[in-house]
Amino acid sequence: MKRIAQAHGKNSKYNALVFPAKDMIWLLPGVAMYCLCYAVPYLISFLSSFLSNSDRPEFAGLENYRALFSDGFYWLSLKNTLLFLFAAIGTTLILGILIAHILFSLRYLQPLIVLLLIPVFLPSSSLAALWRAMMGSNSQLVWLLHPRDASWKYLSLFLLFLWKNLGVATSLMLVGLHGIDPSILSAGELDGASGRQLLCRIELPLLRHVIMFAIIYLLMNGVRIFRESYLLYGGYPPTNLFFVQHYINGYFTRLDYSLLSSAAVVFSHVVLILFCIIWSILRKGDCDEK
Amino acid sequence: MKRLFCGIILLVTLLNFHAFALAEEDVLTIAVVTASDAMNLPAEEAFFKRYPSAVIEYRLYTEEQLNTMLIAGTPEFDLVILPYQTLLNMAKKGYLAPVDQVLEQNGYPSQLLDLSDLLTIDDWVFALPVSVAQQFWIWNEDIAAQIGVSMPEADAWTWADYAEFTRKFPYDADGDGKADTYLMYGSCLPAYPAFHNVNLNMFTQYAAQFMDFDAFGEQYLDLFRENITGEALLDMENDSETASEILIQEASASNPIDILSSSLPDEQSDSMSFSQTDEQSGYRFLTPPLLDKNNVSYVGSMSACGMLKQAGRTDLAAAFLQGMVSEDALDYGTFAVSEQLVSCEAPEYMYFDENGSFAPNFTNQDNALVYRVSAGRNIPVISFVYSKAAFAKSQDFREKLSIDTFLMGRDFYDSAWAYFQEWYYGHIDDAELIQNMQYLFGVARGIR
Repeated sequence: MKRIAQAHGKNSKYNALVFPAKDMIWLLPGVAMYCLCYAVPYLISFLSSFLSNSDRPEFAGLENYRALFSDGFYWLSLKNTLLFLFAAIGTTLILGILIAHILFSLRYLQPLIVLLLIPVFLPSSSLAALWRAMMGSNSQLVWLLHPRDASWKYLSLFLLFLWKNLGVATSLMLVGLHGIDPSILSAGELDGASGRQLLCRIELPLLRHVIMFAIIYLLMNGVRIFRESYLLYGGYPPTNLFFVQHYINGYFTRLDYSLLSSAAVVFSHVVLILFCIIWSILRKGDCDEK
Repeated sequence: MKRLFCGIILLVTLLNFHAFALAEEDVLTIAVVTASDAMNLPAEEAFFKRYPSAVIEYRLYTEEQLNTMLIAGTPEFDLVILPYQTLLNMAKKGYLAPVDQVLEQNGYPSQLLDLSDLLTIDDWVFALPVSVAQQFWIWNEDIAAQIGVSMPEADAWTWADYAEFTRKFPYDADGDGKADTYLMYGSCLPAYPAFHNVNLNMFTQYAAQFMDFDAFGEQYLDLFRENITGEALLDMENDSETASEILIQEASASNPIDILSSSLPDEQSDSMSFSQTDEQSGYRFLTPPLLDKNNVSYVGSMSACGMLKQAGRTDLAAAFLQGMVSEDALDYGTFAVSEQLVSCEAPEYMYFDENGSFAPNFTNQDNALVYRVSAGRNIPVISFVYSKAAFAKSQDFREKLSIDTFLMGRDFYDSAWAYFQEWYYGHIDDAELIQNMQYLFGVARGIR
């Protein structure tokens, strides 16, 4: 750390982080808690994925992974999860930016953001009950429209995600817009930039960090949408809503902990790769700026 | 100060002694996932004859709690009474001990209803049956005579014969020009408005017998289409308006003769008789149609009792299992709450729990739902007479029990019926229906 601080000079922000080695001991409780709550359970799952599934597990090598990758249902669940994440996160972000932009222009409407945040505070079970009443197979809408079941259920869950997360996404964007120096926007206007150009060339690049944070937040919530999906459609959703967590839950019900662990390990790596991609885009943006 | 110190030591000693005394108590712990599975009066009483001071503690868990405990290797129970499919899964994963070894006999106990094919894996018995319920049909002889149809032959008529049969309905029995007699009731599922005249159990009959839905599609989809879209089934919603008659009623019970020949005893009577035959009652027992005459099996459900490999009190668990197959237990049935009847012979007595006094009442103790049973209960007993022929007939039917390898929950039915409705509306074609059903079955069964 000292070396980093020296490399960055006296006024570097890293100077604040420099402390004597003996003080490292104060980090131990935090490190221990991290190990206990994150590293150890992950390690146990990782090791379990190499064991046979019985009351006396034996080393099974890559057998569980072989079984997993040869199972069409796992690929289906992975494909569905990623597609849903891309579609839901993308739509939420675009709508969030647009609404934030409107609210930023019409400042007297900004207190209304609270209305968009209400779903965040509602428990999943209430949300699911409400959604079932509104869009379930017994609802008036379904009786009236006779929609295709699978598409309707997909739309229903998609809208639920949007409804639940749009408030937070909009709030983040609004905070980001407030953080932009007004003189930059004024300069852009003076240079004759149109509204679209201001948004694409000035606001969005400056909102980069906020957008990345929003993506990470939405990604976490997207992965957790299984909870609502399970409450709405149980363990047998339509084919297009069969997520990785449904797959994992199925093997939990069948007491197949080894396959469950391998599925979870693979999926955690997929999510990790997604985070790395987001992170590298962010870093690239920072480098370009410099 | 000295006195206070002595007092504390005394108190701690007493508390330890109390805790030790509690630990020494003979407690047999049985895990269940539905409260009704904790009602096993005959087996409990047989168990208490051997261990009068012991306590049976039923613990009500969700399946998720149960699975978590098993996976973590920390089960807090000795025996489990569960739906057959869950138990089979536990046995396959090596969590259960062979029950036949505990009973000190080789193979499946001959005293019980022969369900050995279902309850045996690789020549070891993993559980004993607790209760069996099956779908069966009841034929109304009077209506049949009015229409002039004869009852199909048991264990021999197929769904193709059924389709043929449906063409005679609806029937105008009184000749007023309006149809007033139907073959059966439809299911009338509010969530599936297109299917008001569909019989849900037709599907379960098919589904349970087909490992591969593709084969079902190839052979039977057209037949199924005819059966579910015909006019022979009466829409339940219209029944109150039309006061129509139906020829066949569908039922599900632990024993068909309960439905066909039961009559409640006189108030002052101390015995009960099920001696009336189904022919005498005007209602006759009819086996549901088969898919294949060479494979005679009927869909139903079963709960069974298995012993955990890691059981803490194997002695008590063994005594309970021995109690289940003892003459003491098998001579008794339980009336009013559930009648289990898993013995080969008809019971001669019934525990008559008329007011439900011995029904399980779970209370929250230490964050678990617990129901404790101990010896010394005074349970009213009445003598009982079964028609031997009727009992044998129904037991023969029950031994042809067919159970799917996975538990079809509400969510499975909902999904299956949603796809069928899509198919009915023409939103998806036959191929898509089969593909979607393959998906549902694949998800339910898993790859291993």
